[in-house]
Amino acid sequence: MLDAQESSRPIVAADDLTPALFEALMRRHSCLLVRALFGASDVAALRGAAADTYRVYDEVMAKIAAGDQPPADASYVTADGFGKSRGELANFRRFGSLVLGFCPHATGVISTTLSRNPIKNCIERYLAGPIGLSLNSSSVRLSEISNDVRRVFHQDGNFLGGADTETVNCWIALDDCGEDAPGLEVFPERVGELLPAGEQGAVAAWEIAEPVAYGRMGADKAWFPCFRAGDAFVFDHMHVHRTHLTERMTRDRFAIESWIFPIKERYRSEFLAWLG
Amino acid sequence: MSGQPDPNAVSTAHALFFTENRREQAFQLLESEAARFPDRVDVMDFLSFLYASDGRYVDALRHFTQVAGVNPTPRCMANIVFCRTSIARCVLDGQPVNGPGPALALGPA
Repeated sequence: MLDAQESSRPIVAADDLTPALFEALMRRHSCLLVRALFGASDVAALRGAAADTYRVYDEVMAKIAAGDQPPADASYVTADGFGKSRGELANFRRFGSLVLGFCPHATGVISTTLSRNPIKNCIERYLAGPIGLSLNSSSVRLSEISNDVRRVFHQDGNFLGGADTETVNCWIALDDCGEDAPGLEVFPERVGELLPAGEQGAVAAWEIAEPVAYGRMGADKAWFPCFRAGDAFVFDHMHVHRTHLTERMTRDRFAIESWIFPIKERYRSEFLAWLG
Repeated sequence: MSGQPDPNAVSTAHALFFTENRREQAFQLLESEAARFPDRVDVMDFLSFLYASDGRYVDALRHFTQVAGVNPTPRCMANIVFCRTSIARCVLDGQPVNGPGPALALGPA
């Protein structure tokens, strides 16, 4: 049962999802929460791939730090991830992201799962053409409660090509989260412009300061959804959000961040994997 | 199911495709074997590899996905990604997504 506030929010059960409803909610809210979009077997496969990828990455990096050579097996993390791009990937890891372009096994599992899910047709219709999963911008996420990286508001359009980019992120919760594990803080309202970012005191150029975000969106409009594993939160590049983490949380959380683009020349550098 | 499995199907197809350049016969041999014995992952896997080598990425993806359903090895998953990125690249380049295309895109099986 939804309470009064929940009922006004863009929440839909997977069984009720249609391309028309998807488009209507995205146009109005810039986001929607789809309950139980992925079933238990999909969640198990995705979570297994995510956990294995992090385990292999962390084990190998520890061995490299101890003076060992990187392994020959590049199934979980590419040779570049441990080689020439080691510093770049380590920085992503610090922020709880392993970029799919470095993670072949996880990418195979994620792309196969997405291509079979009803959300694919919704996004294909919404973006009006064949779609691909970005291997440059998508990632396997691990939000660790012990990680002291500051979680900041942002709009992904700031680093995905600007306001006129055509893209959608299907964020998939692989653990129950939002209450005792990190979730998301979001504003279910369409924003037509990129908010001022990278102002004084910001850690990154894309960081939107808290007073700016709350001032524009309204602090009382912030939404902290509780997710079950298999729920998906779909949003576009203009959506204002950040990871939601509080001191009372006790568990880490895996998720998949899958940025999907139309297969167009403009997005060639995203290194797309067709979702057919 | 009819007859006995051909234990040499993969090696024969390998020779037909790579040594004798009789590609269609290699496909016919493997497709026939896969149709008779759909649970032969080795045949399906090599057939997928030949499709991809021939630029038939959609066929390759379909078969690799079928293999992954039985035996989701990391290598099979990586091959799925290869097919998907190849198809996207073909779309961008205005090339056919299901061959014939450049040979040996994958390297040795």
